[in-house]
Amino acid sequence: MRALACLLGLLLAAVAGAQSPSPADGWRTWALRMDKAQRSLNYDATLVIDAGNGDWELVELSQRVGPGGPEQQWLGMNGAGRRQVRTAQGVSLLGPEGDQRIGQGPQLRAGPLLADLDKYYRVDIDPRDRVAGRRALRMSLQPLSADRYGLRLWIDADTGLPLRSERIDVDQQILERRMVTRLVVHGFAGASATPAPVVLDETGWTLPGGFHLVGSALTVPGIAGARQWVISDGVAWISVYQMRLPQGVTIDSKGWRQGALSQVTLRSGEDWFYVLGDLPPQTLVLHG
Amino acid sequence: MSEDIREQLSALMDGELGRDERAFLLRRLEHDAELRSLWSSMHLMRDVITHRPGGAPLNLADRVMQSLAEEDRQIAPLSKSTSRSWRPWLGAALAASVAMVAVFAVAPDASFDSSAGYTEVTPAPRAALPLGVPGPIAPSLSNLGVGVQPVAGERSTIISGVPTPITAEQMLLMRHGQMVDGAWWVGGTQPVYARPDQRLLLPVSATGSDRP
Repeated sequence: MRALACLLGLLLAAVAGAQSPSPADGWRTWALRMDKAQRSLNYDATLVIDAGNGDWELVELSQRVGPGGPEQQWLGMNGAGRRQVRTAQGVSLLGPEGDQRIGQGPQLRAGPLLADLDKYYRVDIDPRDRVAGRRALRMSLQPLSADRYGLRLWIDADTGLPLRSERIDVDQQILERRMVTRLVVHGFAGASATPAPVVLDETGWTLPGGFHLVGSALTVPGIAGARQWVISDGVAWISVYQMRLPQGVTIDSKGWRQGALSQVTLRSGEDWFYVLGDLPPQTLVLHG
Repeated sequence: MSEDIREQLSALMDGELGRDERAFLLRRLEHDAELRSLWSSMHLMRDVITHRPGGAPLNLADRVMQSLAEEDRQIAPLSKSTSRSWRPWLGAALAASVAMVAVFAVAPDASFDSSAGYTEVTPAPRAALPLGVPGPIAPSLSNLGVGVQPVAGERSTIISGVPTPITAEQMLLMRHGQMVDGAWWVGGTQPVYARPDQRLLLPVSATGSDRP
């Protein structure tokens, strides 16, 4: 009986080892594991955000995975205490101005894009770090060119969930940072049914190396005739909103940057492009 | 009554709402007599248009509430309508809604300054894009089932202030930030972007904004 128990123990250990990568595994294994964990785990977390505006945001983040994929609630603990809810039906903002709804946009995941990150980033991992008392592996993605930002991610060694993130510019300055200070994981809820990104025909787009057109939406609720295009290299995500404006109406052309998020407005004939993404604004202008 | 809620009601009639969205709307119908009245009117109109024998009974609202309560318990799929001919009734109102939200700020020149680079400034009120997002939704989170639940049973502590409708720009930001499944580290995901008054913006100037 004791021998049988030992054998069972060895088998279980082998199975567990096969499912849970060790720190010695390559960065791809960890990147894919994080991608899966953040789409399939139910959890509650407290998140501290420094969005580069000199202020701190404290958020209670809850995720539950439903049939349509992860649903999240962001409850701002500072200021007005707005609540932002994302379900399969769309995004809702609940706050002092009333409860307002934003229609469903593209539902995407990094997935296959993660496999080729090392073509455009130098990827290093350090398995010996800790975040909020949890063992964490630090993954550093340093861009090989100045047209994109770097990203540091701390990945929970036990669950694969991201615990901390930092976006850095070419001078190694931190543009924004986010960190989990409390994490309660309620378990695996099954892999999300969200489809993998579809690489579309990129004819007509001038994209930086590694970027792909991964999604689009033919309508943007609230803005008649607008369309949304999504471009990503797995690290930076860019939305290009295309719209035509009534005669004599223009969009404020002064772009802005907050933290690592930049916005520029471009125009081509009668089409206006409101471009938004985790990239240097110059890159958005050049490639938008 | 917003056009958005009318559209949701029409979708409910057609059985086109998802489970969660239907639960939201049913909860709202429970507590909103005006909405129930509108619901009755829409049913009456549809019945007239589709020439249903006998039309709708006058006490339809109460009967609808009764059936909705039953439906809320069962969470069963709604039957699909066989006719959409009543839809044009909403068309004009929806068009008006779209026109109403298309309020843009007028900028004198769409080109970028070629040399200014970045300058830190105190954020100023901006109205770059139209006021967007028509209509409220029911705030109930209790019917989400396996979905998102209120945190520790608490509601947001709302500090009263001057209500400010969400702008289209905020809508585009949140739409952008919520598109990647579960990835809270992607830019634009946090509610801070819904607070433009607290945003410290670095204006961007660049060349080549107007493409030929």
